[in-house]
Order: sequence, then structure tokens, then C-alpha cells
Amino acid sequence: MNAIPKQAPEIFGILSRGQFISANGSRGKLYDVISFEDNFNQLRELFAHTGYSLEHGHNYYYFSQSDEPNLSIEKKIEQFAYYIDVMDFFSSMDQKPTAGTRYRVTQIAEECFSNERLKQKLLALSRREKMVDKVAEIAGDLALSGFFEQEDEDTYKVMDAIHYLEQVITLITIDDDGEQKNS
Amino acid sequence: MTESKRILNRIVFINIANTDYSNVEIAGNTCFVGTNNMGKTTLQRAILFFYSANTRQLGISTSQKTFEDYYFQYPNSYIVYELATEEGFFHVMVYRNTKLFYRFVDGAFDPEHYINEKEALLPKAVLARLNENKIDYSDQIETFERYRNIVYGADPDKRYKKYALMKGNANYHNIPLAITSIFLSSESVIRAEFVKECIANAIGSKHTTIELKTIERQLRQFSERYQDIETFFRKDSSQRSDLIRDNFSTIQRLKIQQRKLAADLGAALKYAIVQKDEISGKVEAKRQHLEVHEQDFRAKEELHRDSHKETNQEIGALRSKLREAEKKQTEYEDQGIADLLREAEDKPRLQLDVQARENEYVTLTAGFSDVEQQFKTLFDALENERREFEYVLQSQGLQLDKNHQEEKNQLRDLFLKDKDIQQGEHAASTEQLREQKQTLEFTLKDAQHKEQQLRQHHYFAGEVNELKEKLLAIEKRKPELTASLKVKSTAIDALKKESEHITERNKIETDQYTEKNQLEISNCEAEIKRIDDKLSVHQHALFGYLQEHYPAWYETIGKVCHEDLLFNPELNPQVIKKNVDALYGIRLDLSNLPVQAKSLEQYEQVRSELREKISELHTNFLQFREEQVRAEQTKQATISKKIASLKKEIAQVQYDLEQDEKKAQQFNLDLHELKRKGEQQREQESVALYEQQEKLKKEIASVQEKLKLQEEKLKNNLRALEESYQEKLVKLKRAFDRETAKVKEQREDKLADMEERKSKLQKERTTVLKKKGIDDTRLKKLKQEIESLKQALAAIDQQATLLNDYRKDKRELFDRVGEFTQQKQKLEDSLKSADTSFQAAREVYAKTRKLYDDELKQLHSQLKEFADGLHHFDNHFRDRILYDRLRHLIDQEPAGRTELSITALCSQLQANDNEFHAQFGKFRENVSEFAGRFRTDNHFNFRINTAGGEAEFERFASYLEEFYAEDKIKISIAEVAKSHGMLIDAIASKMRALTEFKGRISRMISKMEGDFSKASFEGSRLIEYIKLKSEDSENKVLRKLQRIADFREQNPFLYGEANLFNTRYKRQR
Repeated sequence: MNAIPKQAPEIFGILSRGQFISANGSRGKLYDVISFEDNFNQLRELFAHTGYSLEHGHNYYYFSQSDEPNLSIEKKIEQFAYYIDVMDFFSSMDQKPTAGTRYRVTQIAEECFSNERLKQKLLALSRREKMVDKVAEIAGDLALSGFFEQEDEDTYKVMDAIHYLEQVITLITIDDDGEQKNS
Repeated sequence: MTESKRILNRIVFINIANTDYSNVEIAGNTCFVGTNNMGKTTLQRAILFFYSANTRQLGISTSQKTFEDYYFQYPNSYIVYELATEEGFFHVMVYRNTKLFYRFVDGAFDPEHYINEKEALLPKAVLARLNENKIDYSDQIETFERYRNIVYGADPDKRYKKYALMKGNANYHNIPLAITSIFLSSESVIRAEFVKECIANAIGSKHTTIELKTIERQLRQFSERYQDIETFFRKDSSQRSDLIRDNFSTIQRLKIQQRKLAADLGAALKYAIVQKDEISGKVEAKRQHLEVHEQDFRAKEELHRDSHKETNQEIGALRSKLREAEKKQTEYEDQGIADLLREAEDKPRLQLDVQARENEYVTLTAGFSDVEQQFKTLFDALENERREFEYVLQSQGLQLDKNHQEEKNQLRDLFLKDKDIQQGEHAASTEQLREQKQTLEFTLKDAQHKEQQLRQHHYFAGEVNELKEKLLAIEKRKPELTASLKVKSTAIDALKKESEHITERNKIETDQYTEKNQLEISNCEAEIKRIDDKLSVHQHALFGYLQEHYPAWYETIGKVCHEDLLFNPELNPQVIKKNVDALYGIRLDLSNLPVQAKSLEQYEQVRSELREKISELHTNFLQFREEQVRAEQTKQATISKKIASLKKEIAQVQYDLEQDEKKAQQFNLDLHELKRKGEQQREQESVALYEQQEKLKKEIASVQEKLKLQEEKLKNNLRALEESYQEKLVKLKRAFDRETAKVKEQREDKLADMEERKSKLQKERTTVLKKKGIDDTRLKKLKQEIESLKQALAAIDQQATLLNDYRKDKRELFDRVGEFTQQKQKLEDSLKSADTSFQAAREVYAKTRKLYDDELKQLHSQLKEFADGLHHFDNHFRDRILYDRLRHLIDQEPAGRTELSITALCSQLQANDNEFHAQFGKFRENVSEFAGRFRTDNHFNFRINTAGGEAEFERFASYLEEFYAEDKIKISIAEVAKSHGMLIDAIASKMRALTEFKGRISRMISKMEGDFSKASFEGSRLIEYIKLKSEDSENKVLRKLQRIADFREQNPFLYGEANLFNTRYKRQR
């Protein structure tokens, strides 16, 4: 049996904050460590004692919790509603938010100038005054959650973890009466 | 010997951080005591800043404000460091003007110089005051490096020697580092390690310095490149690149296909437009030909029918003549026409014979006329008696006959009466049946009439007419709607062009503005650069010289000297004679002249003004852009609204058209349905009528049967009556015959008697004649001959009419039978030949008609195909974005025939485009994902400029293909390996150079150890002994570097570029 990787504390530190470890980010090495041989199962077993379950998606890892207080779930749902709007905003752009896509804040702001629909969506998402600040705010939010990664002051890269968002959004079904259901 | 004593004596804060003014004397040992947020650390950092002159290594965390922002919040913020020297005091003022500057002031700190009425002065005013008080001060020191050089005595400028804290040492850098370490150390003691480092650093040489930053940079570079290569060889990346190349080839193929399809569509559209007109013309021409042909045939048919009718009539006439001839012939033959003709031929001879016999008789009887007369009288009396007797007999006969006739009449009357009775009875009995039959026949005729009416009846005429009117209205409305659609589409195009024009105009305006702005910014930047250039060289130029040696130069030289001269570093100014206010010996009155030269502050102010102007220009540009965007959006919104409204109208019109079309279809279907229903109803009614007719016919037949029976009965009765009548008549006739026979017998007796008496008279006459010598035998014979001849002539005369008729008929009919037959045959033959030729003409017509129909059908189908294609293009393709995108290809293509129809081409183009977009989406995702795996500045240049659009992705794919095709990864690996090898070599050589001093250090430590061991600490209660020894460094970096050097020594050929010694090893790896 292999030893538990030495990066385990670092991995735990990241994932326990509700963030993701994506293959295409600066934490790609950690992703490789988790993916290496039987490390995933070992880490999963290790972290299970802490109440977290190590999960993996397409090129990303994250923690899930089976028992969570309702308040936390509600907060998550609220947060997710916001993410849906943000995803809708990015999906309305010329450049869709696929993993690896790089966005420049100024470029997005410029596109918003020329696209009224996009502008309206952005206005609904942020209360900042300037267009650039609005974009930076929502990109920053996504970066905080690990869906984006800031590469430099102006550039954000879409992480593989974006698949998680996509997957969850795909699971949402809307009935004929307009009521949403989570399958 | 004067003790060298140069120490920091005092620190003064003016408008620093939260302090307005504070003055702290720190000579000797100083203890800072104060509550939180009193400024202990602020002061401590200010001390450290004095020695280190580095805003970064002051222990300020990144979350806190920067040193500049925290300490120097105002333009009149100062930190003043007063230093005590063996000769007196000087102080250093630090202030901020965009960045931090130093000035060394030769004199103790005096608050009067800095503060006026409790208000700190600006640097310019401070300098003015220093000038007023004739206190010497240095130029503005703009860089920390220069300041450190001056303070640590490393500045080459001799003017600043007096401000140095220690004598010149180029390797003074360790001192501020050491001080920084002490200040920032959280521990209360200084470790030997620190001392050791100080020693090592103190003897360090610049030549043997290992620039860890460079190594760090190189290693980082290597690490990044290695990471790039590693990422490239990841399975995911490889798969993704394969996908990208596949996608790219598919996209290229689809693009080519799209271009081809677009070209085909363009060609097909133009061809369709040309062909539509051409085929319409052809169809019209064919239709006209067909009409002419049809008219010709109809005329021929009419002619043929007429001629046929005439011929038939003629044949009929001939046939009737022949039938008549035959009939009459039979009649004549029945009347024995042959004998009659023969007899008629003898008539002239008989007439001649009669005349001859009468002449002979007259001649013979001329000699005994008296005897003859006497006997004639006797004969006449006898004849008269015979006549009288015959008259009596005749009267008797007449009476008998009369009686017989009366009886016969009575019988006849009786018979007729009976017959009438019978017939009356029959009539009475059949009348009802006849009436019934008549009624039935009327009903039948009525039914037949109804049937006829039924055939001509138009069912649902009202509804059909209504539908036809509606269809007509739709047909009329269609061109109006189409025209309106075209007008609206044109309006949309115009609006789109207007919108494009607005965008274009704004773009041009933006470009112009940007250009203008850029020009101004460039000018400002050029000006700033000029100022920077001036300021950078001012110390070595006349300006610096004047500042230092002739502070009042502004009022003299500053008024007459061009600034180019002031900043020319090659002038090498020297003071020849002091206090001479003359220009090359000429005195000038400069009191009225303004000062031309600018002070440093003025230059700096100008520079900051220029920077502000640049910032303002940027702001203005953004404001302009915002306003422009807003205005453009307003205009575009208006246009969009109009377009939307027009599109809505178009949609409405299209909806109307579609509705009309649907209605038309529905109406046509309704029409068809109504016709079908009408036909069904007609059939039902017809069937009912037929049934009624059949029933009536049966009833009529039944009545007819009854009538026939009645008729039969009547006939039988009449026959019986007739038979009875005939029997009675026979009986009557027999009775009459008996009476007649009696009379005849009486007459014959009487006639015989009279004949006897006549013969007696004849005999007497013969006797008398004989007595007179005359023989009368001959006369008798003549008499008889004459009588028989006359009788024969009378008989011939009786048949004269018949013979005349016969001759006439013979002449007109019988003799012409052959002619008639021949004519009839001829006519029949001509009829046959006319029929044959007409049949041939009909066949030719049918064939031609079929040919025309086929051609028309073909042309119609072609026309329909073209029209449908154009319609499909107009309604389902022209409005699409795809058309706008391919317009340049579609519109440019000349007309040409294509294998596929327009509809098929449109569909294929659409499908191709959908496929293209789907593929491009995948392609884009794959490219983004692939490029996203690499660093932004990866050395493979795998990066996407997202603003580049689709072309950028394609460029990327092309580059990737090229990368694979040229196997650039190998080159990259080789380069990385080479640089890696060079780095190891460099580290090893540096380490070698560094460790060269190991022996020297050991010796120095030994010496120090020796000194310490010699020293006696016996009297000291604190120190027992001091021992120094050298140990290998615990520094991780150094150890690592040493390991690298060792590796280099042990494996000189196993790294770097591929060579004879490492190829196998690498392969194994």
C-alpha cells in the first residue's frame, strides 16, 4: 500500500474551503497527485474521517458532505442561483465558458458595451458602478469558488471545475407549469 | 585623534502618517514606550528606512498600505533625519512628489525652515527658505540607490562625501541588509548565523556573487518549459490535439463544401431566374402552338363531320332510291308488267287491223243495203226486245241486288254495330289503362326530364361561387402582399445600412478621436521624456552646476540662457570669477525680463501636469467612448425598433400570405369537397331517378301488357264477330246466287230463245241474200274480228296509265340502279377513305398533342422547380444570417446549371452550416481546453487571442498542425535541455568560484578563534569564553546549489543536449 501523499494537508486545505482542484489550473500538480495510482482512494478514505467525501468529476476534484445543516444548503442554493445567472451571462458571450477559455475583464466589458442584452445581464449581476468593476466582481466570485482562476490582473481562465456547474445546471428540469425541479 | 562619530541623532515627522509634527531624539540608547497605535512601529520603520532606503523590506504586509501611501499622504509631508557628525549636524529631508526624493541639507534641523504659522511648507518653499538662510543643500536625490551610495560613502561625487556615514565601500549592501535583519528580527538575541552571514557577506566579492534571482528566473523558466513539455505529453493533451486536428480538417472540408454550395446556389439562382423567363416564354409558345394545332384539328374534324354527314345523306338517298326501285320493280312484276308491255307493243298493229277490217266490211256490204236495212230493223227489234228483256232482267237483278245489298247492309250494320259495341266496350275497358299508362309515361318523362336537369344541375352553386370569389380575392391580394413584403424588406435593408453607417461613422470618429488623443498623449509623453531626460542629466549639466554653485542664477543666467544650454552635459562649467553679473563681459539690465529657466520643481510640476493631462485625455476618451456608445445605442435602438416593427409587419404580411395560402388550399379543398358532395348527391338523386324510371317502365310495361291482352280479347271478339258476319254473308250470297241463277237461267232461256229467233232471222236473211245471190259468211267473220280487235284495244287502253308509270319509273329508277349502286359504292369508298385519313389525322393530332403535353408537363415541372426554388430561397433563406455571410459568394457567381435544385442547395447549405457550427463549437471547446492546459506565456506559443474570433482558432489549429508536422516538440525539448545544461554549468562554475573563498574564511575564523582564545574573560561575569568554528552552511539554497555543482562534477555528460553519453540514458528514462 502506498503512503498517503505528503500534499494531503494542502489538498484538504483547498477542498475543505469548498474549492475545486482542477487539472488545468495552477493546482494541476495537486490534481496529478490525487490522480496518481491509488492516491484517490487513499485520500478519500483519509478524508472520510473528517466528514468530507472526496469526489471527482471530469478533470476536477471536490469535497461533498452528506449531512449539512439546512441553513448551509439554503445558502448553497442561493449561491447556485447566482452562479446560474453568471453562467447565463458568460454563455451569452461570443466566447463560451468552456474549460481552458481565457477571459480578459476589459474585453468582456467592451463586449458588454456593444451587446445590450449582455449589458442588461451584467447590470442585474453586479451593483458596481463601472462596467469593468462589475465584470471583475463576478469573475472574482467565480475565481473564489474555483471555477475560474486569475492568471494576471486582467485575465481569468476557466477551470475544469466549470463542468460541475454545467452538470448541475443540466440536471435542473423545468416542468410545463414553470416550476423548477432538481432531479 | 578625533573619534569618527556619525550617528542618527533625531527624527522629525512633519505630516507623516497620523502625526502632524513629532520630533524624536534618538542619540544613544533609546526605548520606545507607548500605547497601541501611538506610532512606535511607524518610527521604528522610519529609522529602518533611513538605513535601508527600501520601501519594500520594512515588514509591511501586503494587506497594509504601502510605505509611500501611509507615510507621505500630503505634498508637504516630510521625514527629516538629523545626523550628528564629528563636525556638527546635517539633515536629510525625505518628501514625496509622485515618488520619494531626498535632499541633504548642510545644517541642523530647524523647524522654521519647514513650518510657517503651524503649516508645513511645500518643498519648493522650504528650499526658498534654505536659500534665504544661505544653507547649503544637495540636489534632489531621485533614486534609493544613489541615496544609499551617498550615505554609505560609495557615491563617486565628491560633493556628497560629507554626508557619508562611513568611508567608501562598494560592498556596503550587507550593512543595510544586516540592519534590516536586526530590525525585522522578532527574536531578542542575534544568532551566530547572522554574524556569520555578515562576515561572509563582508568579504564577498561582486565577481563571485551568485545572483539567486537570475538562477531563480532561469530555474523558473526551465521549470515552466518543462511543465509545458510535460503538459504537451499528457494523454489528455494528445487526445485533445488529435481532436482539434480532426475538427479542423472537418471544418476546412465543411468550409470548402459551403463555398462550393454557395457558389452552386448563386449559379443556380441566376440560372433559375434566366430559365424561369425562358421557360415561361417556351411554355407560352408551346401553348399557343398547341392551341393553333388544336384549332386546326377541330376545324378538320368539323369539316370531316360535315362531309361525312353529306356523304351519308347522299348514301341514304341512294339507298332509298335503290330500295324504292326494288320495291316498285316487285310491284310492277306482280302486275305482270312484262305481258302488258308486250301487249302495248301490239296496239298500233291492232288499230291498223281494226281500220282495215272495218273498211273491208263497209266495202262488202255496199250492194245490199235494203235487205240489210230490213233485217237490220228486225235485228234491231230483236235487239230491242233483248234489251228490254235484259232491262227487265236487269231491273230484277237490280232489285235482287238491291235486296241483297240491303240485307248485306243490314248484316254489315249489325256486324258494325256489334263491332262498335265490342270496340266501345274495349275502349271503355282500355281507356283507364291508357290513362294509367299515359300518367305513368308522363311521370317517366318527368323523371327523364328531371334526370336531364339533374345532369345539368350545379350543386352547392352558392357555396362554390362564394369560394371562388374568395379565391379570387386571395389571388388579387397576393401581389399586394408580396409587394408590401418587398417594400418592407427593402426598408429593413436600408435601416441595416443606416445602422452599419452609424457604426462605421462612430468607428471613424473613434479612430479619429483615438488618433488625435494618441497624438496629444504622444506629445505629452515626448514632453515628459524630454523633461525626464533633462532631469536625469541635470546634475552633470550647467543646470546642476548652477543649482549647486550659483543658487541665484535664476535671476541672471535663468533670464538669458536657453534651456538646451542649461541641460547640455558637455559644457563643463567652471567659476572663473565670483559675483560678476555680466554676459561675456557685457552688463545687461535684466530687471524687466521674465525668468526663462524653470526650476526643478517647475519641471516636476510641468511633468505632473503633463501626466495629469495624459490621464485627463484617457478619461476624456473613455467619457467620449461612453457618450458615443450611449448615442450609438440610442440611435441603434431607434433603428432596431423600426427594424423590429418592420419585421413584425413582415411577419404579419408573411403570416397573412401564409394564411391566404392556407385559406386558398382550404378553399380549393372545400371546392373539391363540394364538387365531390355534389357528384355524390347527383349520383344519389340519379340512382333514385333511375330506380323511379325503372319502376315506371315496369308499370308501363304491365299496363301495356294489360292493354295487349285487352287488344287480343278485342281482336278475338272481332274475329268471332267477323266470322259470324261472314257466315251470314255467305248464306245471304248463296240465297242471292240462287235468285241470280234463276234470273240468269230465265235470261239464258230468253236469250237462247232470242238467239234462236235471231238465227232464224239470220237464216231468213241468208236465204233472202242467197236468193239474191249473196254469201254473208265473210261478213260475219269480219264482224267478229272487228269486235275482238276492239276488245283487245280497249284492254290495252285500260293499262295505259300503269304502263306510263312503269316507263317513267324505268327511266328514272330501274335503268339507273347500276349508276346508283356505283355512286353509293363510290360514296361509301370515299367515306371510308375520309374516315381512314381522318383517323390518321386524329392519330397525328393525338401524338402531337401528347408530345406537346409531355413537353409542357416537363416545362411546367422545370418551371415549378425553379419557381419553387426561388420562392424557397426568398422565403426561407434570404432572411437568414447565413445568406448575409455567404452573400459575397452567392451574388458573385455567374449563372450556371447545377446538379441539385435550389431548395436542395439551400437545405444542404443550412445543414452544412449547422454541421459547421456544431463542429466549430466542438473545435472551439477543444482548442480552448487544449490551450487552457498550457500557461498563458507557454514557450510553445499555444495561446488564443479571444478577441481574434473564429480566425484566431483556425490560426491556432494551423499552427498546431504545423507544430506536429515539423515535430517542433523535439526542437523545444532540445532547447530546454540545452538551456538546462547551461544553467547547471553556470551554477556549478559559480559555486566553484564561491567555494574558492572557503579556505580564506576558515583561515579568518581560525585567526579570530586564536584572538578570542588569547583573550581573557576571567574578569567577566558574563562571558566565560568565546569560541569560533566554521561549519558547512545550513542554507537550503546553498546546499541545493552545491548538490547541483556536485552532480555536474559527477555527471558531466548526462544532462543538457543529447549527446553520445546521455542518449541511451534518456531513452531508458
